Amino acid sequence: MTGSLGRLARAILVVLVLTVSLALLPYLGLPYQPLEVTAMRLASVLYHDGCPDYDHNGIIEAYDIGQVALRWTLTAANPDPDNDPNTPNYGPEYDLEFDGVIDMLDIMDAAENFGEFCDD
Amino acid sequence: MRNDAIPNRRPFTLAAITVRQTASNAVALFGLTSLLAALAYLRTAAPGVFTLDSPELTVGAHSLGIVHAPGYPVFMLVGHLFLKLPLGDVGLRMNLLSALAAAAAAGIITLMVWWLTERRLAGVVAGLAFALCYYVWSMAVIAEVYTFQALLLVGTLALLWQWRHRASFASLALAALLAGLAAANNPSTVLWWPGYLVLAVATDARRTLRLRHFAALCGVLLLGLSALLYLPLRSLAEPAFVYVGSYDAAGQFNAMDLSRLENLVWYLSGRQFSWLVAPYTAAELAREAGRTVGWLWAGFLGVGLPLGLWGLWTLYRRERFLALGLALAALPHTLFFIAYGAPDKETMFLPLFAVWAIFLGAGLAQLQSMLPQQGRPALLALPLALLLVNLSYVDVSDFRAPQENSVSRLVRADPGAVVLAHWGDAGAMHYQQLVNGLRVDVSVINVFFISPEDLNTLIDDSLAEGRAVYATYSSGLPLDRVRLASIGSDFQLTPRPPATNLSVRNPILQQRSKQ
Repeated sequence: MTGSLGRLARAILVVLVLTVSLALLPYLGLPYQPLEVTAMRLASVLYHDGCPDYDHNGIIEAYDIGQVALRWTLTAANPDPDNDPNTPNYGPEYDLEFDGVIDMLDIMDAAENFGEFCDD
Repeated sequence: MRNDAIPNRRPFTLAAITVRQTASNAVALFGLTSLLAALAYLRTAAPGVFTLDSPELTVGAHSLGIVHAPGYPVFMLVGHLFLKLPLGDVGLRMNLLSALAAAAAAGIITLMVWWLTERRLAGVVAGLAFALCYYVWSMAVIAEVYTFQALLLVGTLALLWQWRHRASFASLALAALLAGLAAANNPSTVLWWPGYLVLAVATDARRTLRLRHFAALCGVLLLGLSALLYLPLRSLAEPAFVYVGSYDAAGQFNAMDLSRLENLVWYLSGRQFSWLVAPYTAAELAREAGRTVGWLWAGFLGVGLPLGLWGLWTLYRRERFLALGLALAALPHTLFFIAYGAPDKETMFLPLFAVWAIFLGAGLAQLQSMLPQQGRPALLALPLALLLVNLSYVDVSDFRAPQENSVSRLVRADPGAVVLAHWGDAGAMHYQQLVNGLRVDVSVINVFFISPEDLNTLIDDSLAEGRAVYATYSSGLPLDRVRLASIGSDFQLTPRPPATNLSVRNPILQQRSKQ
């Protein structure tokens, strides 16, 4: 009798845990994108060193943070909305969060490193 | 009545194994899982050369060249042999090698779960769950090293299981050979060795070992490691394709000489990408650990994480050192890559997924034992759900952009032009040049390998000589000196007249020019 109750309790626990874990899936969403999208996003940043030093003077300064800020709201999906390559466009080097959009988080990432030196 | 699905015999007797687990059963289980996985991969594989590292690895295998650190010499050699098969074009063949490796790894996982639990259904479900998990499937449809490495890992674990339970020295020797080959292929796989050591030593079978056995093990381990000789030997042969070195300001690639010991050590220690190692603060590291758990949780659609924990616990209670060895085969490697800063790091956890699939199988066996006979096929819902959910995420069978873009970029370039490109785009063009012989007059520069100063000099000198200069990107180009004209999604660089200055429209550049 005790064994049966134990098995029943274990079965209920298993069903409960699996149900909760499964139910979280639509709530939290899948953390991955289609492979094509991931590939195109990563293709040019895969080996970028992630240091926002766009004038290559070895230090992160206001100019570098400004370069990220100038590209605020630009996305990998539409990198050149004004169709003018000579104005700032989306570039993966400025997408410091690697999420396909240059937003406040990218600007904050650059700003947090203000005054830091980039390694060679 | 005993409810536990995992047999409580320790160790398994040879007689029991031969009666219950015949070779034909093993072949059937391995074949079923591998075949189903291979069918899914064949349906979704990229039809030709892909982007990211794929073109580089394909050209490297084709020409027996030297790819980025740590070189993957075993993969280069195996890939070179595989490319001899008459199957489609070279790009597709290399993609199929990844598929074959992943399918074989899934089959071995099925066998291991069956050996551990004597539950065939749980084994097949675990093998298929591994095969159809996004992080595995996405690496099985393109040319990449990860599924090959996962195959080496699970192959070694299976051989060590054979050693533990059948005291088969041949299995132990083969495991040592595979461990050596894996370490030569990628030195980070020595992080699997703590688990290997526990599995090899913490067993009664070790009492059968004599000194000559240890000598033989050292010999086969060294034999596997000798694959590293590929790097200096090929470096001396000056292959057509090398991705370690740098371009000079004239656009000439100066390959690093890997026959020199200090260069080889630099290369093998991964210092080509040293900035990616542990770039995180403690808080960021905690976030990365959370992301990794999230990938594991989502990779098996939520249910795999608790089932794997259940399986790990069950195995630990039955055979502590087996569970510990399996866990240690994945844990140090996982911790290292949690602290690794590459943006594509989620692709680097296949060893974790492979070992977790074994734990998942053990958990599934427990679940199977709780279900009534007629309800047990419900376990197949997991691989079926993975198939349905992930199919659209990993299907790149129509993705021809890397192939088409690389051809069109080369074809439209003026004679003797310079094309500047980032890693994946440059690799695809190198593929067209070195594999298909297309437009070898064009200098394709992978800008990862050139300093900003040399790049600017190269652009200036090339334009001054009248050579056409193109770029597949715009960010970071010296817009104070060149003007960009759109050509499709790419750009042609032309000298900027002195009177025009970007700072007219760019307030930050204006501010800098005032300073």
